Amino acid sequence: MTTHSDGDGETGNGANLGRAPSTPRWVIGFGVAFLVLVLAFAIMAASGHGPGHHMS
Amino acid sequence: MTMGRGLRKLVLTTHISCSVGWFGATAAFLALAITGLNRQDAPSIGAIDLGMRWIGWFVLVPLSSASLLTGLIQSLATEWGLIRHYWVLAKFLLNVFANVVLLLFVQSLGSSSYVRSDAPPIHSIVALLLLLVATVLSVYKPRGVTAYGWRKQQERRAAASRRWQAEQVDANVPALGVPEGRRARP
Repeated sequence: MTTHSDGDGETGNGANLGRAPSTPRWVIGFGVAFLVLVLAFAIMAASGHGPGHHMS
Repeated sequence: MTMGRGLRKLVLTTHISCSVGWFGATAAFLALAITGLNRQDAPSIGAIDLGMRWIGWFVLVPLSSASLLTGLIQSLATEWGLIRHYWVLAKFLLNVFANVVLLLFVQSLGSSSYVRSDAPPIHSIVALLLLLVATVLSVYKPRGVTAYGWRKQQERRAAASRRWQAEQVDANVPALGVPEGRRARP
């Protein structure tokens, strides 16, 4: 997968008119980190260590 | 649907105030959580538990909900949109996740075993990191539009171009590039 640099769809320089910009690298990094966080939370909740398990 | 300038500023101010308040309340919660780790006497644990419950239910939950709601209004009622720019979408996902976890988390408040455990400081630190990432996204607004956002941009540009051409025809302005001498005199 290629990533675009500064010349994305917001610059309006016309260099990439006609095709959608590819996903920026930071979005892929964020997506992976976010998925890891959600999975970690789900595993902790399933194993009884997540929030809500200390209810009196 | 777009908001007027005044209303937009009002919603933005509310969103920033709630988000900053959420950050500050989480930091205060972290201070209480760390204090709870070092105290063993019942009166101190009771006071810390009470403080955590009040901050959780009456500060954190209202501020986080208001932050999510005003963020949604701000995105949907402006040109930014909710799913047009990756940074807006990323902030929305972070906010929803933090709200869900917070609502589960406040259920634990009121238990002395929870106050004495190492869970509150860990939860607070993770929450602070999430809020910090959301703040960085808001300030830096990293580039990148989604496929939907890109389509909308193209549509807007095409509409603006058509409007401009129509205005040129209406104003009877000669086409660009035609030498001055060859323009038809009125």
